[in-house]
Amino acid sequence: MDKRKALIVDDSSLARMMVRKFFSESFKDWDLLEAKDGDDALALVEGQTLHLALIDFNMPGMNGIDLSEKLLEKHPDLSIHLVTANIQERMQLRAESIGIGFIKKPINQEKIVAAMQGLKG
Amino acid sequence: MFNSEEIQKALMEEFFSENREALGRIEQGLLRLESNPGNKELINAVFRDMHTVKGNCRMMSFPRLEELTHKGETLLDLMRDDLLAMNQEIGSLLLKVVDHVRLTLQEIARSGSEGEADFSTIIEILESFVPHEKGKESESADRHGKDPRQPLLEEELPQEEGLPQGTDDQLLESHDSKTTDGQAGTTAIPLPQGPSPSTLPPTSKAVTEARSEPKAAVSAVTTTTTDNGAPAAAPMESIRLSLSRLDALMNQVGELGASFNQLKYVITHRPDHIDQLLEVHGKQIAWLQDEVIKYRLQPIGRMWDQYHRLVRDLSVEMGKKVMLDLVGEKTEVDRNVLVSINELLGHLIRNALDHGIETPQERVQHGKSPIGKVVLSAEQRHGQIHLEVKDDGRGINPDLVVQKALLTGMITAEQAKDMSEAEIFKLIMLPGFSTASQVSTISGRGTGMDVVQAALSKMGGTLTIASTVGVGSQFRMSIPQTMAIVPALLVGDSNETFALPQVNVVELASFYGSEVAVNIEGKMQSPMVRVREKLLPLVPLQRLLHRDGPGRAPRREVERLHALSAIHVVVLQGQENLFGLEVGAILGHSSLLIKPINTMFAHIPILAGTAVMPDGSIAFLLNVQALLQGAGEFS
Repeated sequence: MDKRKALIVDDSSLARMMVRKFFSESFKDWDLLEAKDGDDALALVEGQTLHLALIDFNMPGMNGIDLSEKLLEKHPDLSIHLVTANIQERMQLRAESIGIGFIKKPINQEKIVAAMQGLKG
Repeated sequence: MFNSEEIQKALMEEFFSENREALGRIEQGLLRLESNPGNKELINAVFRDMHTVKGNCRMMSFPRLEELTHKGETLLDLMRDDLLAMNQEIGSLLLKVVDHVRLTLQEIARSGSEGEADFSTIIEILESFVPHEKGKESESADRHGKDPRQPLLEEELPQEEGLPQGTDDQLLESHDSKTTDGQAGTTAIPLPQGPSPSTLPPTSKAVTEARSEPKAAVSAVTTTTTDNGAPAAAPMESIRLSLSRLDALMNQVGELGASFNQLKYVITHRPDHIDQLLEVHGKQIAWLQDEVIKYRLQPIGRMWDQYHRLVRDLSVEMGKKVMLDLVGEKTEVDRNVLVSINELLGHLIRNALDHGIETPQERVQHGKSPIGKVVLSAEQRHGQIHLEVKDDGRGINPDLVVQKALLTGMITAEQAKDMSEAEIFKLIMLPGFSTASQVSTISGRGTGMDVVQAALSKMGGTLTIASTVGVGSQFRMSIPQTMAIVPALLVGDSNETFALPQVNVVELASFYGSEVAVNIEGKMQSPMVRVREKLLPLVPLQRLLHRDGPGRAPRREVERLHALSAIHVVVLQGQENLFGLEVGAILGHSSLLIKPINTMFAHIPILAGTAVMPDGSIAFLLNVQALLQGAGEFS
């Protein structure tokens, strides 16, 4: 069986590294794609089949919601979670309106497991 | 594969190197901001780097560094929102934060822990720049276990408009106590500086200054009380006024007083100057009127944040993905209008999600993005507010509308043949029409577009629907910007023009030649008119205005009417009954800016106001209830 793919988008390399650590420890059947911002992410996922995306909200360039909107156009079934410490209610409601979940920073194994729960297969 | 010790080591290396780079950029950015404090892009970049450092410290569990950088981030966030102005003092303070973080990072590199450094002094100074009651402390609030979703909306609202915060509660309290005393409607006008100065430390002067910029000079505060005394959500019973506007008002009133004294003087001493002074006086009064009308205007966006919640809840409930975009939130409308349209817009947004936007699967099948878009926009043109709720959903199929209308007997097959698309869409606004095959629990609560239409026309507004199958629908409304503008039916008598509020007009009837005698009769010696088999009291406008002098016997009034070759009747809705108003001519419809009646005519009850017609002449707005009373006296 092909490995499933998760996209990690965060402008902090430490944050990406941390997520990679969790995956390498607990979710070995996943491939990870890492991007530092929205444009990077969109270029990276072109033509790929994605299952999960963990996206930082506060990034240079487009924010996490804008990126999610663009990702969903190409990957309508993608399960997206915004990873964020604090978010304005307005932004949270907008995200929920397009079916995006939240992971509250700091991220850890349990939170990633919870995010994977809704996935098919 | 790494072992966990190696991973931890790699993470710490990354922690140090990323923080080092970010702190370097923060430092450079802060220095550049000193000479260019308004550079938004730069503030944003510095904010993001501070945010990254904070996140890193949290991730690697250094809580004291996290707190320090969080406080720094808060100040930068305030600057992003124009709630705090960058200056040298703040610049130096933030540079000091950078120094502290660097030293502590060195300590961590050396010993592995944050060490004993004390940040309490600098944190205290940082906090002194944050508005006391509010500020964007959502994150620390989260960490203290508070529900992050409740308080945020309230905090965001005033900030977005550059309005002072912190007075709402005080205002609410003062108002509440008044309303419970039975003095509803008292207007509270606090000073515009936001948090009362005594609650702020002296260093927050910059904050107060930055915030007192009257971006929106007037703002409403929710203050109606419910039966149990708790503040109710919707109507606004008091407004907030900027001091500069109040001063301008004060000046104008002062000048009005001065010119009044002058007027008194010239009446006795220099009668040849009366006209000139009256003109000045008139202009001053007109200015005051316009100014007060402006105070009633509120940015429409005040009411709109709640729609994000609505869209979110409905999306989740219906399994749809919907993005709501708001355009023109700063458009100003009369506060009464604001409250009235609130529900209508909610209804239209509900409709758009329920009937318009397809499920993500359906959208993808049709080659659309799985995310549906609903755009709510407002715009002001020529004293009208144009509102639009637009979706990119499935659109309305005119054939289905016609089918449904035929089925329910609203139209005949014959009528259906000649109907344009615009006419077909109008059917949707008729009572009893609903395109949803099943009554949905979401938008179809027994009310439909007819309710929206009725509420709009009550405000003097209109609704038009445009739609393309597969592409989406637009619901466009136009409403008067203020309630002082009244849609009216213009009628004429002799050479004068009178206006009747459109809301009271039921129908128009004209009788010619022999029809006159058939439909006008005297009953108990009073003229009556027969409209649709009903006999209604008929009030001749001419008679009410005593054109022919008082005292003509009612019986002769019927004779006069019978002698006419044509009679025009406006059927009006009185308080309880319909009645007819006989007028010389029916001239047409117009939206009029109604001004209060001149004191000279104030004693005449049938006159409700005046409006200047395009040709410069004056039309009187008639008071429909008083017309009927006039008829009572008459009979």
